[in-house]
Amino acid sequence: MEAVLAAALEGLGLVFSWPNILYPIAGTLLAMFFSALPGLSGVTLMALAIPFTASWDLLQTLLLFGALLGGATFMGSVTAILVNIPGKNSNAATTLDGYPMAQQGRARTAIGCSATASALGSTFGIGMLILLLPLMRNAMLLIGPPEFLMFVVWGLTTIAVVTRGSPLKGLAMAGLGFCIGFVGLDPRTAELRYTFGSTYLSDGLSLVPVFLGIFAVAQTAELMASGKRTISGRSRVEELTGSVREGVLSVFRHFGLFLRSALTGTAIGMIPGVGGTVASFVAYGQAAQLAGRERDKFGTGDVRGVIAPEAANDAKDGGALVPTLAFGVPGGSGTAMLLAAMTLHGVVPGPELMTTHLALVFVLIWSLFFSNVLTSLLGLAAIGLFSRITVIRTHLLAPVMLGIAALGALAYRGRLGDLLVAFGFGVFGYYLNKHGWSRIPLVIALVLAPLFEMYFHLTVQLHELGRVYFWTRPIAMGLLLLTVLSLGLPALQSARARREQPA
Amino acid sequence: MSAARAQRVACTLLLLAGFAVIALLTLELGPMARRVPIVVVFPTVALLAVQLVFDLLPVASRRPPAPAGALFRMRGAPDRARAVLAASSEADDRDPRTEVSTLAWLLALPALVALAGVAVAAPAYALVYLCVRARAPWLISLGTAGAMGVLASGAKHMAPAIPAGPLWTWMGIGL
Amino acid sequence: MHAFQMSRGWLAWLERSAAGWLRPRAGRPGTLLLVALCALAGAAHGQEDAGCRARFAGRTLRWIVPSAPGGGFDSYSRLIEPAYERALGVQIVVENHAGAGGVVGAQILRDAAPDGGTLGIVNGPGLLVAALAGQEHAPNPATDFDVLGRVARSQHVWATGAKSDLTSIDDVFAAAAKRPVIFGVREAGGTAFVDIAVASALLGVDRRIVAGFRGNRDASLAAIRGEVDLVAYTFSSIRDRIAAGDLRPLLQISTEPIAADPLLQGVPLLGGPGGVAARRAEQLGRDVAEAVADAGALDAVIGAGRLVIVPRNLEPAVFGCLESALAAALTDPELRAAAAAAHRPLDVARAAAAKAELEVAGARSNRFLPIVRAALEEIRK
Repeated sequence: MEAVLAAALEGLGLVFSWPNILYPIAGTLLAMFFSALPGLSGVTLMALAIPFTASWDLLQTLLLFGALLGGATFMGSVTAILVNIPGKNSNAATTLDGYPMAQQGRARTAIGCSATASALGSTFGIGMLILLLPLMRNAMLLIGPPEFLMFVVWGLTTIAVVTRGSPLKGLAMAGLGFCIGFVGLDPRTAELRYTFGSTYLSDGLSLVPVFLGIFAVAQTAELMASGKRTISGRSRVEELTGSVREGVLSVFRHFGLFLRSALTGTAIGMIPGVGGTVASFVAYGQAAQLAGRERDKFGTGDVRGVIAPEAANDAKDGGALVPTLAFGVPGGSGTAMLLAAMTLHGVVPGPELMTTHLALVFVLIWSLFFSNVLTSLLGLAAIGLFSRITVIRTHLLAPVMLGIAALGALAYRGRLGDLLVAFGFGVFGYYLNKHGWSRIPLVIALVLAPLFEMYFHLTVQLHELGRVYFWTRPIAMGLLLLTVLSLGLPALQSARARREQPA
Repeated sequence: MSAARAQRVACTLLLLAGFAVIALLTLELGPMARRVPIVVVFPTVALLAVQLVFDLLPVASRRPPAPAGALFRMRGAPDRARAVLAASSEADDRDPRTEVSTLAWLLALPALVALAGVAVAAPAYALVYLCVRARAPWLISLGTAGAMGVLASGAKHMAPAIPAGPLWTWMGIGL
Repeated sequence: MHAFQMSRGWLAWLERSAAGWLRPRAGRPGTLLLVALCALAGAAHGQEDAGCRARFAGRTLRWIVPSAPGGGFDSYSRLIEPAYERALGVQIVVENHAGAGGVVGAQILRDAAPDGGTLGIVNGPGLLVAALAGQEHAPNPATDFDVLGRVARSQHVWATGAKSDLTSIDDVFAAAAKRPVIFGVREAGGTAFVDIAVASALLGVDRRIVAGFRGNRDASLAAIRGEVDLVAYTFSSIRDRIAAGDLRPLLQISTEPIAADPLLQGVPLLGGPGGVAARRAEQLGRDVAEAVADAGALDAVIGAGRLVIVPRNLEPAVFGCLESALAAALTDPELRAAAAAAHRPLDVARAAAAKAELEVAGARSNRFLPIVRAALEEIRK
């Protein structure tokens, strides 16, 4: 522990010294700008930075990449709240309550809450990472496909909680999300599924254009068709209610919720490939489930519906570094880029990194922390500017939002097919919304379906080969219990509520 | 049947038809490849069939849809359910011409991008939309179009794989 | 062979012959003659370079990378870019076209106009294996492109978890006699899958393949945890795990040592007359020569390497310029230093050699068709 503390202090000194501090500042500002545009993300920026940083020192590279990893999340929340368009897929859960708050003229509260939950969530995640540093290799060896499968199943149960409107439609949308996830080459059997002979579809339907369509394009179509003058229904900034202070304080008022969500985010971040989207939806669903009788308020502009996903989304960064640093297994696309940059500089994740180069690990961690906090502070400072978007005429916003969506779809992979998918899903999402088919179960299933199928098949195959026994794995069984409780608790609560109702 | 109701039924029918095709394709897959899809696709077809029946029932006999946590009844549910129904009927009341015009404007952008490339299409679209549909002042239209042009050029510089559009090749201009 | 290659080869012969003829009796006149001949050769070469620069003056070339930014192909491309620009005096724009396991980028290259404006890097074994596995629309690198050269080879090793009781390839044979040995791979039909299917058939190893891991690192983690026995991946991809002591290499899928790397000290080779394939064939009473040939063929397929290619039917002069510029770039000291610093090993071959190897790989890989198809059928049940 002494060695860890000494390395932590050394790393802190390296980050907050001149001119080293310039790197995380530059990285944060770049990541903020990039991630404000739907379809573009900090990951794209990291990929572009890799060749530029090949000739840099390792220290400079880690300073920059830590900031790029951390600075991207919050800005996506801003667009999610203001215009119902998540800047990144992982900000989709924030739209559920963040956008209704903006529609009610409470955008400042929502953004203030988001900024605070982000900064504190990131701090929590980093704190957990530091605590887990001596244990992370052993921790990663304890969890395998059965545990990952149960995490995903637990995530899928949130569909039951977040579905608005007809349960029939909600389940059907979940089925549709699964089917979209099935499109493409099945890696287990090398068979093409539902591709209709198209090379484009053999790669599957990528999340970025689908999300852009279902959220950005569909939402813009909704604004264009609804005739609503402005997003908030108000014409002047002075008419907006809510305040930054209210938003900041709300996180502390619901501190238990914040802690649960941050813990969920950190734990889910440790699962390779699962990422912020799952973490934020699971935290949201958990928050709604545990709200008891007040569950109904979620989705109507409840500030708890912003705290939960934001805390989880930022806490997951700390968790995602655990498999990356312990075994070189990237937790998500951001850590994959980080790994590529580290490999270019000859750094090997594993025991050597955790002993000989521990100070450099802390450079990465402190840079990530600094970036998250700076992003939130800058975001708080710019709330006035951001909230003006909700009083701009929708006719003026529409072509800009569509143009950005088109740019995002094309910049992702340079394929025209992605643009067509985005706008196709935009029209589809518009009609789904219009006729009461909730997008959220579709989105959750779409994100989780490939993971579910992958871990399901791996668990079954390894079980058949006698390599894993599901029923003897305590973490998997614990998660199964959690899943059953997640589904059963609302039923118990509703039965109790019915009993308590006056006759 | 009102136009709005017909549209609702058509939406469900389209989903059901799509899933029916998916179900047929699923049966052609190998045993391992269809193991999970089969468990998802066929129940979804059944759900959609039931939903279609529900949509075809006369309006008066339809109960308001349940709200969040919808698998379980909750206290206060009727208020939320009325809000959901109200929102749905507000969408139903939209002028069909406005909707068609919206979709036409929406789809014009990808068509223009496919033809002329995003670096030209994005600012041109913004200019035309703001002038014609939004009837915004010239200054705002030009300023917004200019900003979109800068953004599109920047994106093209950062991601050179963005296609330029065949229009310029047809016109013999190397872009 | 192309005209420029012939002329350069002839000039080189002239240089060598003149030097050899003149040296024993070299006095001032002989030396002067040698210098004059060398100057002539150099002038011709310089003229060729000058001719290429004039031909490509002011042009911007598209360099297609069939994967997302940040990966191996992208890294190599970014390393080559400045050296190539210097060599040919052009501007290069690197375009990432990820999709369908590299097939999208390969298709763009195949269909590009043959005007010297488009070139790119592809995964030779990946495309060969795609053809083997029957993947639709996948271009064949042996027939659909012209090869400018090879940048690097990436050969596989079989590795097991450090805590596994399999400490050598003989342990694998012993274990396989009692129960199937379990391999973990990312995808069925990929390079690792073909490696395992063919090599295990060659070695008579009873095996099961568990496909569907998220990536090679996830499969490696499964091996470390003991959920699978072995993984088969490019040495450079799992070198860091081997260096960290998490994985133990057991077999090099090659006829020659993959790298002069201490981590591969004592790790046997599959191919070659004294290789594991020959030894195992003897043990099992099979044809040794055929086993050695099959091992060589597998090495040729898996090791086809990262190839720089252009669309077919380029004008010979244009092809020659692009090819010689690539050769110059790949021998550029700055590029070599940067590649070494980035741990991106180079294993360069010029157009003729690379194309010849590719044709051999393409022809021999047909022998493996029934084995790969049987392995796919097994996994699809």
